[in-house]
Amino acid sequence: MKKIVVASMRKNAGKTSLIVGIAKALHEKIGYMKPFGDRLFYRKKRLWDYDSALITHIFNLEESPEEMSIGFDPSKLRYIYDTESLKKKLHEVMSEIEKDKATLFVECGKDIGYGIAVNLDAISLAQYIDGKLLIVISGDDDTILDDINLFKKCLHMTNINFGGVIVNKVRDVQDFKDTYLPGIMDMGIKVIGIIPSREELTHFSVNYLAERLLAKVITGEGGLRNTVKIILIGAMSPSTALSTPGFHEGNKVVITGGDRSDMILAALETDTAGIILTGNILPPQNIISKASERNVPLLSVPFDTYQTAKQIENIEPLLTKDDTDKIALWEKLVQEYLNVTEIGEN
Amino acid sequence: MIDMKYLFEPQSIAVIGASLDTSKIGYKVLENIILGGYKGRVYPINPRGGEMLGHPAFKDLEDVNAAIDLACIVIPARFVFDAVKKCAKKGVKTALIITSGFSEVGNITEEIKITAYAREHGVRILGPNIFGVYSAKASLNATFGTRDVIAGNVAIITQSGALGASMIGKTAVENIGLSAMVSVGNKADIDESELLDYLITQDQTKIILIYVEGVKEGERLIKALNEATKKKPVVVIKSGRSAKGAIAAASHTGSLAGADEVFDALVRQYGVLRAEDIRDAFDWCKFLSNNPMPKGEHTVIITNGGGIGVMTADACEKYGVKLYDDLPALNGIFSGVVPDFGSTKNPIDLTGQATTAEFDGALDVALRNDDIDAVITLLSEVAVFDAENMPELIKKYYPQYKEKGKPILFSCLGGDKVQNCINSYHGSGHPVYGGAYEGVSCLGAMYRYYNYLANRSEEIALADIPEKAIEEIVRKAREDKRHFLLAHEAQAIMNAAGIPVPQSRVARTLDEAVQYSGEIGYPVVMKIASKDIIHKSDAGGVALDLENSNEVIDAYQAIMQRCRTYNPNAKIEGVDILEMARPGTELIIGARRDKIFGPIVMFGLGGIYVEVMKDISFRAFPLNHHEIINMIKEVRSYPLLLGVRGEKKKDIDGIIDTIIKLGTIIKRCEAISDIEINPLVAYEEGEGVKALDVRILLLKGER
Repeated sequence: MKKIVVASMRKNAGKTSLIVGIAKALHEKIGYMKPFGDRLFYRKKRLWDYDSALITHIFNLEESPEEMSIGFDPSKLRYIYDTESLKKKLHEVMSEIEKDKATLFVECGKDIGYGIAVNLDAISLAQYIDGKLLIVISGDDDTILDDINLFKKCLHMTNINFGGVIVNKVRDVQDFKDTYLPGIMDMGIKVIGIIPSREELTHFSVNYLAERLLAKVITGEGGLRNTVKIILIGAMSPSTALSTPGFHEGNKVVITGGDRSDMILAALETDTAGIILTGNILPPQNIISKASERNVPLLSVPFDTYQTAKQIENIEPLLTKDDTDKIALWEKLVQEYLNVTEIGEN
Repeated sequence: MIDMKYLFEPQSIAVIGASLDTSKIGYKVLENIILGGYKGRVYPINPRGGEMLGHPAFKDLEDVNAAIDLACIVIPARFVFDAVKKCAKKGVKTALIITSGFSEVGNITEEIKITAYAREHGVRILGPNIFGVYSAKASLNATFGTRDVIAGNVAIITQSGALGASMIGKTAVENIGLSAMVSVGNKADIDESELLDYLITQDQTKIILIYVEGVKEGERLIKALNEATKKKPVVVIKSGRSAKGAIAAASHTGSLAGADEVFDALVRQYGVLRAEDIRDAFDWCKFLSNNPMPKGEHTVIITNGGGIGVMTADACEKYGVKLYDDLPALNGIFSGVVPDFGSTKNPIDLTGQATTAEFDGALDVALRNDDIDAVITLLSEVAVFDAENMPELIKKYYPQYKEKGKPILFSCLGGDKVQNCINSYHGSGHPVYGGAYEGVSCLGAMYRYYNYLANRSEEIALADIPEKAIEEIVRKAREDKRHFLLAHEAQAIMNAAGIPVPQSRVARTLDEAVQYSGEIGYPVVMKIASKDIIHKSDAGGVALDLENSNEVIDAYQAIMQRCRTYNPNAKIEGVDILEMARPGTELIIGARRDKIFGPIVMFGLGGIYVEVMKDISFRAFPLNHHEIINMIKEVRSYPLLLGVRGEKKKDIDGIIDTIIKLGTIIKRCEAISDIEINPLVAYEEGEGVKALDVRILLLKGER
């Protein structure tokens, strides 16, 4: 059984999406664990990691997502485990998950050093489970080069089965290859794939937005799968809004006060994916009915417009179980730009 | 009080701005004073001098060589300050500033300047922006309204000058006799409260009608109304029902306590009759001033029409008029006078074949029977009883009932002749109406006042609370520059006040969280403890029903992670571990220091009842035990507290105790602006209540 430890130099590098793409491309029975969870979900007294739940769902895994993480907060790990008992727990969990699997993916925390104080960082994990370490690097070209240099100069990879780096979300793959790849190779770092960025992977649905904002869906449930490409703040007058070119773009979400009936109506008059009503204020019933007729979701949030915009700014466009198009695209990108056979080798 | 005497009973009046130009207010006011029959000395003031309406005019106030009690100022706004200065110099006791153009149009500075000067120099100000004052006792009509004012026993205080002027005319048409009428306008100095204090003591005034638009000194007004209603009925019309407070407020008590809701609750608490419009208000005033207060609540409907009888019974239900329902007693009283095919059940149906003789018999026995306290007579025009028979009955029985101390009213229904009959009583003070609801509405108002007087009590329900301990907790929060208390501080106040709260401990580490959960006993509740996270649920900072240490560990991780994400800069003190209270009926109880009305308390059922139905009641605090029970009964979902579908009655004594304690804290601890328990769980009778979540806000910028 192959054990692949996937880490990244920085957060939001695309580890989970790459694991999905690689696992799809491998066409093998896979197992997954994320020992130190960082995308925590807590519902009905159950605690699990978002990525674990996603992969469980996509690959119909038998294990429950709660079993795939050992902890989420250092306080718990320190309270329950010392180094030895932690290793023991890790192996217990791994031995359960790896049964009958061809490949086990172990995803690390948000960045390479995350969890180092409790021995659940990427290097420690790769050592403890004796897995092949893949490092995902993304960002603009300079950031990628910084990270590769940091990795080369500061991280000691002795006693590590280092598989190489995957450069993700690259604007121009050919240009990157021509300009930077030779230098990286000269440093002795194996690059096993350079994946281009695709705008469609950054979009998400109105439903995803509603879930992330913990918004109440007032009406327009039929439009929850609408794709969101643009976020606009409806603070101006309707006439100004209507004369703004961006306001006529489709797939937009407008953030406005629940008492701004004029702005809500203006948004409903144009192609709108959804409207976020701030301040827990609901518009009059006739406006709610109009949104319902047009199947435009109205999402009510308790925050003010600034706070709402700030929260949306921080939302990561994570893959969801319903994103079948995105999952297929990841599989395609992996097959096209990554040496899958090399990853599959021990 | 002496100040008000100079307003209502002045010995001398100066009219500053008196004019001979009949189109000017200065003329109209002078004319009304002189021709209205005022017996005191009148001094017209006009720079031209001369003579005005038979009185020598003075060029300046200083030229008057006599003391002046009251000055009516009817000159342009820009000259008013100088006129007030002259009034002060002259020793005028009260100045009536009829002139407009002050705070009502944004000229606040000038109004404040005038008021401050007048106050400093001992001159009281009524107005500005008023239509004047009428006082029957002094035969004084210092208004620019009609001169045809009928002297009587109703006093009117109005904030609206124009409405006041038209009300004067309307009272004449309705034949409502006035003891006084005064408009308060911008209320720069004298307000309703002070006028009420005077009118309570004035013998001529039997009933007081107030028109209010906005309330400035609500707490004072409420006190004055409380004193007034002890002695005479007060009817209030307040406009601005739809005006709401801020939509978003830090507490439900704040957001739900719209100015009008609070006003409405408070005036009812003190026995004030709130009318929807002038029509109702005048009807009630006429009825209350022309009929005796009943001695009990046994009302009987006597009718010759079944349908109108039922409709009137519905009206009684609507307006809270209780129908006498002792059927054997009613049968004993009326069986001799009701035809065999009629009914002695209430309504007493004399049938369509009843003539004057049957009505005569029924009204006579009802008059003589001491178990009947009020009578509603329904006179329908039929073949054997027409419009010509109606006046005879009204004329005969109205005085007899009045003398006996028993209110009676007549509703007459029929064609033109009946309408003429009704019209002939218009303005006479006879309680004759054209429909079922108008008269019953008046009787209902009378009974509301009757019940208020019957149940009012000087008892005040206050709790014994440790003020110093509470103030110490507040002081520490102030030191921390907070305007709210943290959960454990609020719980400490509940503990100090003796309001049961779940056991709780603040755990600063996961080890402590597990340890305290075990000590408190599972299941437990965990909540984030951070001054920077007020809305704990929104931040994902609450976990309920944790049944073992594993669940506590998971919840701790989840709460810490989510709260750090929600507010990365929040200073997190740890988590509160609380005993998980067993379920019961969830209530909301609040107390707040209303900016206008002072301490108020709120009660309602929790959950959707308060969020959606807004099923809540308010009262001013302090209040008595009986009024707290009324407050609890007032919510529509009150039956849930009595137990429905096999559930047992809830611990209402515990609820009352909590309301008193919250009210006492808000009254005595002035640094606290709002306290809200949501939910307060009420258990079965005898098992008490428990405050699960308490929010306490402090007054900003003070103490």
